[in-house]
Amino acid sequence: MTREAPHLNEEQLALLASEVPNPLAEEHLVSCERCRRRWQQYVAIREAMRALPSPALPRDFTFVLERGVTPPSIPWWWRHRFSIRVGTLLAATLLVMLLSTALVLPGPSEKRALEQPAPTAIAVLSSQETPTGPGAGGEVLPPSAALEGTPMGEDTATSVSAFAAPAETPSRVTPEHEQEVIQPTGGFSRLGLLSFTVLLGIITLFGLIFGFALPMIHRIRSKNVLQ
Amino acid sequence: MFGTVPAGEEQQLAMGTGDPDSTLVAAARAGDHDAFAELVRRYQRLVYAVSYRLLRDQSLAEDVTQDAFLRAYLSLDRFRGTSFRAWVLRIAHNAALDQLRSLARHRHVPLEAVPERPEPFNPPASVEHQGLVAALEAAIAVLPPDQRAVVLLADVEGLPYEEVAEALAIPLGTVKSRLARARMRLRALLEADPRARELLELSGRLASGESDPRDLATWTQE
Repeated sequence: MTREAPHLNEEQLALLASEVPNPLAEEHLVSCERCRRRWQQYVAIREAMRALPSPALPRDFTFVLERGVTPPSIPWWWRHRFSIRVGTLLAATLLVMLLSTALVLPGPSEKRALEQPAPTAIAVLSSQETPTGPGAGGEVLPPSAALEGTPMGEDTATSVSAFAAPAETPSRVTPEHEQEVIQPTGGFSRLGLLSFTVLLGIITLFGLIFGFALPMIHRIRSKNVLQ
Repeated sequence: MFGTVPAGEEQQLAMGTGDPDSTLVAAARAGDHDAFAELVRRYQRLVYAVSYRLLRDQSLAEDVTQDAFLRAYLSLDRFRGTSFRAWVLRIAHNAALDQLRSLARHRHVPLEAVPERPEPFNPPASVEHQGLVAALEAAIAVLPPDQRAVVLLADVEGLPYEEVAEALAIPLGTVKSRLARARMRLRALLEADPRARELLELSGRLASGESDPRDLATWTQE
């Protein structure tokens, strides 16, 4: 290090009182009396501070434990908070999926309406499919005749047979019948689905309280205690 | 009794961090009062000394020390740091700062100007030494609280920088810059104080060749 080398700044010198200098700083301290003197002042001050007598203890602080202070036990939800959070997230996801499915898919009445043919279609089907020939169950009265109040006579049997005709035809399962058949099962499944949704809602609510809200309050309180 | 701590966590605490107190901390967390009492015995002098020098008031320092250990005891299950000593010091430092703020509020004086109220220390060996101690104590008391805390922990108590940083919850770079500023200010204060003549004579002796800068490593190895 030459004489022209810049002096170490005050902050560097102050820190060198407790740090090993780098080779350049060490060389400078050897050659520069001004910096060495200042550095030695810092070293001396630090040594004096290390030698300061400790204030005498006024009492033994282990008495803290003799006052019967008991630390609060760790709540169960704090210990299991991570598994509670995972369960809550799963339940919430399932709940959202169920609810969105219920909203998007048609309900039972809508489904019935969709599956039921339109009235005109029924009429067409009836005219095409109902046997009208002799021995096939009788004739169907035209609507105008029925409205005109045809006297009940020999035609009555015809009329009756005409109304009874569908019963005599081979039984055809209509959507209405289908609904009647599956009605009890559908009711049970809807009830089960509803119960499951409610259960998921309760689990989610429970998880939000014990997995998120209470641990957050617990953490804030503990921070306040330590600060 | 403490709450149940999972066995794995206890073992991790006991073996994990390299903290000399980890075994005692683990035992205390499991409900062993004697283990916590041993921790208190280890650090009560340090915590009280730092609190006292921060507050300059014996009864306040007592309160802060007691409060720090009580808080540590009640919050032991939340201790996740690497050093119990740094953790307790941090609690005590926060409590002392609260006290200083309260003092400043009630007395309507700034934090930096909290009046010095020296309490009797252990009697020093000589009058000169007594003068030097008084000068040093007075100079430390004049420092702002943030610099004072760093100087007390790093220079007076000899804690490593890393532990000082953990105790004060500040970065390592901040510890160094505060320490440098504090030492600069202390030097300026002591230069102006006639009671610190002994100290200046010591540095004069050092300057006259009793010490070699090449022995810096020796100076810093304590």
